[in-house]
Amino acid sequence: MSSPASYQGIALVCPVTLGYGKTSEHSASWFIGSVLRELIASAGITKQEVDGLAVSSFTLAPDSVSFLTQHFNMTTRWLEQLPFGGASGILAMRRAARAVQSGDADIVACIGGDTAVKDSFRDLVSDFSSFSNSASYPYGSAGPNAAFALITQRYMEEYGATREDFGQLAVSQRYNARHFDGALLGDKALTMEDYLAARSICSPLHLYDCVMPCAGGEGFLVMSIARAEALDLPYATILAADERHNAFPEDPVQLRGGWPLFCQQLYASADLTPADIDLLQTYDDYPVISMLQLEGLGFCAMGAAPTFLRETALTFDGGGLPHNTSGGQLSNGQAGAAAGYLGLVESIRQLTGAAIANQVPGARHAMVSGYGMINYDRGLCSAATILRGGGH
Amino acid sequence: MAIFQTRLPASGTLNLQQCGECSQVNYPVRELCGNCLADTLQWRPVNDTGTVQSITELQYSLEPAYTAHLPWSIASIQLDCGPIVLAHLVPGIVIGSPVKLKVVQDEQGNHMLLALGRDDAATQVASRWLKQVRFKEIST
Repeated sequence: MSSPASYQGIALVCPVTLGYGKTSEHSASWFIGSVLRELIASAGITKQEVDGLAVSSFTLAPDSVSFLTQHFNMTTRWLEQLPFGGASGILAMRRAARAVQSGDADIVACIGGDTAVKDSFRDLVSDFSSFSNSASYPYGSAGPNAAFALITQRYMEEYGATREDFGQLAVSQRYNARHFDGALLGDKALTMEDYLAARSICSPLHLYDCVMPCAGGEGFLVMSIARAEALDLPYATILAADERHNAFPEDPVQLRGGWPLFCQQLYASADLTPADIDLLQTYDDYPVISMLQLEGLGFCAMGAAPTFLRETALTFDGGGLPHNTSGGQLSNGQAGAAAGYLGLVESIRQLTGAAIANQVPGARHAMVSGYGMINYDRGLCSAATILRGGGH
Repeated sequence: MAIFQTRLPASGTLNLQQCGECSQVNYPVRELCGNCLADTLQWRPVNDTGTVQSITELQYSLEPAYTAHLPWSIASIQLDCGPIVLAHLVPGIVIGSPVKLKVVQDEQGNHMLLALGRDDAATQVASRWLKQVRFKEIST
């Protein structure tokens, strides 16, 4: 199998996170447009200079990225809409980078944005896909909680994981969120006692294992390094990136994502090992999925994440493996498809020294992972990238 | 219109879509065979046995019909004829248990999969459960 060509010459700049709230009166286009405004302002460019737009949103319909060009009165020469849930950010980055490398666009804005209103989550999950509508939602109608409860239960039985192991993720991420302005749950401390005492939602999942659906926006710009330097913008570069879809379909329960299929190549392309990674952002819609990413991305063997978590500090300032340094979705909320951009945006902040109270000292290499699209009983998309702080 | 449609035929025994070309049994319901993409799927009686892969007990549901009967157990099951199915689960069954599947009807008339044991007492356990949650047998 061939491997992805180099992403050399490409810069990721201007990380933007905004507008997180449990619900919002605004539409998805407000979140996407507001992120775009902030991107343009922080890059010091005009709207006319953005000639590519990549968008992900669950709540944008009946509008699409095409219609947004008229909303925002912009003329572009490249558009993408990426319906890949938690893998959307990395997939947008990959496609935008190729567009810039090949001259199809000069500056691409990559934006995830979603609104949330009462009952919008039920509307989304009850008809998320034809498979889920006919074969999973009818069975108890608990949405993704049920699918992840089934994965978590089997993982616990197979590998001896305990609730405390999952709690390590939730508690350390809350600590990180308390050092990140704007984290939706950042004003509330969470101890292991709180975590263990929470009410059960879908056994073995309890309250703090489940992300809170919310509204919000995330975005960044993709341009050439030459352009970033001309604009005097601090940037991150892409050392490697890859994706798989519907990996290991024969596994009766999803105890691995697609990451093992490209993990080695990812490190080889980056000329790094897991020990060189200064911070890791996993897609944490549920803690068990972060464990599958730790395993699939080579930080520990399959089934060994519980042991790894018992031995490794995950806080931004703990000296171990700083993980989900702005709190992840578990402490920020899951802003629809914007959640698929959260880890990437936070990594660009960290690598450009733009994080504030939660800055990982000396952060040079970040790994970001994405996971998404629960069509039936498992997430179909797996993606990951390794980024390097590029200088100024 | 109902918020979901299980699209299972009204038969108490397990019928799933089988491919006329390659014989693959397909689930969830679809229009083309997931293996060979042939347009020859037909509803056929299939082997109704399988093994429980995982279980969850729901303490929460987005639908009032379930909220009234919480907690509610469901399981994922690998059928001996191939597919993974999610199904309602009668009490007293653990991961790794051999089960069989039947199709039952909920209060709204939706046809749904139910997993029950394969031992002698299983039919009685299933009958009690159906009564308790106001589901019905499908008599065919």
